[in-house]
Amino acid sequence: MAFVQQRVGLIFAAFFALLALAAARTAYLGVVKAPSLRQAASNQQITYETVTAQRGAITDRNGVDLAVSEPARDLSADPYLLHNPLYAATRLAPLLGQTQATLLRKLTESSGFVYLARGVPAHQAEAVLALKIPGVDGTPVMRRVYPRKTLAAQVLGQVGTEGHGLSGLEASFDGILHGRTGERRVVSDAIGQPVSITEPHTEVPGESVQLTLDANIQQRTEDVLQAVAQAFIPKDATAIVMEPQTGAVLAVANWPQVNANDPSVAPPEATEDRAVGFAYEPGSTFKAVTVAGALQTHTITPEEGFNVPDQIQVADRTIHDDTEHPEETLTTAEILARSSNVGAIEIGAKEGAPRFNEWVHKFGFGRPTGVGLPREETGVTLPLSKYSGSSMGNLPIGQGELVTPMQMAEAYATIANGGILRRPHIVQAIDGHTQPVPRGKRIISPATAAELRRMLEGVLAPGGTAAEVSIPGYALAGKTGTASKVDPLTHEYSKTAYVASFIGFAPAADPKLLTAVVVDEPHTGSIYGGTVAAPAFGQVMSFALPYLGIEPGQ
Amino acid sequence: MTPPPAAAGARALPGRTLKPPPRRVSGPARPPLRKPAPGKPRGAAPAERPQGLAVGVIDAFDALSSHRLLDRLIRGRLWIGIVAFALIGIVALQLFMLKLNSGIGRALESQSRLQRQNASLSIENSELAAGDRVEEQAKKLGMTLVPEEALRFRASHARSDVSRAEHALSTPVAPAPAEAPSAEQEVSSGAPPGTVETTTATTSESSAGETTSGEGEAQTQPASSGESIAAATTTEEPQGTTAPVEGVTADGGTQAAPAG
Repeated sequence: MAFVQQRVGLIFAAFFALLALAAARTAYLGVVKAPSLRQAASNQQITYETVTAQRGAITDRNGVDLAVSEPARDLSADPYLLHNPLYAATRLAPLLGQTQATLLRKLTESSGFVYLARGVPAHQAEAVLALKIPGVDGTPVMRRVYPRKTLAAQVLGQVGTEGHGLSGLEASFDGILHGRTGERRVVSDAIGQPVSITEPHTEVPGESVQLTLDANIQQRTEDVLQAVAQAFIPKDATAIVMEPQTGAVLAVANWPQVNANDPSVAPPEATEDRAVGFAYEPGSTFKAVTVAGALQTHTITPEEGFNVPDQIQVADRTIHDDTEHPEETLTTAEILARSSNVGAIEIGAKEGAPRFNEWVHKFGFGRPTGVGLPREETGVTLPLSKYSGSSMGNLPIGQGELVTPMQMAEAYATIANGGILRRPHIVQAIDGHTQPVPRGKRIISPATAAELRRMLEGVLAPGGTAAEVSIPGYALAGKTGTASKVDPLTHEYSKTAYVASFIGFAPAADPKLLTAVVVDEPHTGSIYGGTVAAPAFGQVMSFALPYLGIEPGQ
Repeated sequence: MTPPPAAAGARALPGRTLKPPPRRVSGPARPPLRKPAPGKPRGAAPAERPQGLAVGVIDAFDALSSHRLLDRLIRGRLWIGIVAFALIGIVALQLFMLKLNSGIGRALESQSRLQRQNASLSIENSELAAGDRVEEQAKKLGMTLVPEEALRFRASHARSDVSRAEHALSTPVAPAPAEAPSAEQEVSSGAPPGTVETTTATTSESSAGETTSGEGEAQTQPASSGESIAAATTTEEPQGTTAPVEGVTADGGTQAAPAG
């Protein structure tokens, strides 16, 4: 019996010892090792995922997507965890579209983190992750896609790898488009299944931005510019299509074209939106402003005759007309139609420098239009105090001041809509909320605007500088411009570098559509606005007018 | 193992019959009955007890723990059922939570997949709607663009159009030749308007003063041009038989429509 009791005692002692050991171990794990174990458990079981907010889409006026975000992944690797970098590079290369050498270089870096590729489309990233290569991981991000590739690329701009807009509308509306990134806490069980999912910070998707652009008109305008570029090999070119009554911009085209999905291959200057970023001397297109001011102040009348020789002396400068001609009497309308420099200078002289300067500012020159496109140039206008004796020999014919194509379009829209200077705009709605049409300010009377429109019709009539341009059924009005550029080396007007432009609208009596074409330094064929830019105007308008259902009018 | 004292005692006094102690029933011991203090009526609260919220709560808890109903519940077998039910409920709830979280995980995956598909479809939609692609597809189907100079707008005149329409309704339509059915008949028979070829080459609008600069070109338009745009034309009736159609029309260069 004592033996039995002894055995029971031994077993009890053994169990007690084991219990004591377990208690000691528990105390050790629970007290001494607690922080590190807690951290390890947290790392293994609890993960915090960044929930990238979907960036808002940019659409045209008809809801056609111009910029869309799609889920993607940033693929990264921890080279220290890779067992066989060569094997990994061999498997990853075809999936990522990179060479083995490039990948191998990344995978053998002495670093704990290296990006393999960023913004990889989700299906492609899943194929990579399905390889289950140790150390290769993917972080969910959003990838910006421009389905129409080159369409309005300079206007839309770019988005950086961190998801923020870098240029164009993507930059100027980044606060609206970006949304707010969220965070998700996921607790997983031993086999990795999520057992608890909470969102400490909910993500807020970005709002969409609907533009006033029309994808079809934009496409046609870009095609026309492409054709102009092929024919005249310019340095660059830009075109604007606008509704003069509302200031809504229907197209902003730039050449050279840039693929918005891969802007890195384009030269930096090609990504610039020249419609607002190109400051140039407008040349003869500015004569409409000179005449508008003089008409409004009743300094001149449309039928008033001017004795126009083929050259005129202003202070120390002699300004010529484009062609030699005997002294003749031209009406104001004829001066515009034939784009006489001498005639425009005479009108400017009659108006006087102070009033001319006043009208330049009234038409919005020297300040940004506020169209909503980033990096808009203000242009340069000469302050009245800095006018020299020869200034009024240059300024009335559009030399000696710098303007942007958008400013010129705004000024001509004022003439087209009956005299109201209205800020052009490119955003129609934000997140479905229609933006109000900017209020305008009347600067010339409807009668003056109508007189000017009639005079500008003469530019496209027989004898005008753009007589070859016509659209059957429609009465067109506009003005050609061929401006000398200043040679950066000599600081004198160049004999070879010009800016050819044309700004016009239709139907002339009640304009519904305006197009401005500016071609910088055409190299072959011609340099004149009437032969380089005006035909492009005609081609854009001949598509856009019937497309928009604009009737020819009276 | 140490034997119980009762057994040891029984062993120590053999032959003496001992009455076994009453079997103990499980459960807490019955609390001793409180005897009221001498000189005080039963149920009367002691006057010197401290007052206060904490004391009240403690008293209430004390009263609840010694409540007869609770006591009976704990002593009874119903308690086993309640505890079992609660335990099963907790396990079931945990399982439900796990299932719910697993469902959330799947829903998030599904959301991500749908988001991806939605983006892909948006991109595809935008690409498919591109003008040059539509033009290319239309060419494959045998369509061609309407020449820009062939586009005309028909003017609407509220008063004269009504009278013309009245006249058209009251005038019986002349039977068309069998080999060339009239446009009106084709339209009324349900044929698509695009299939009607406008061959009224000699028809011309006579609205006074409404001429367009492209009229001459339009009248000399070759027949092939008219055929090529037939698919995009709208049916046009000879003047005086029906009201003009407002909107863009392509007359194939065979009809000089007025500018509105």
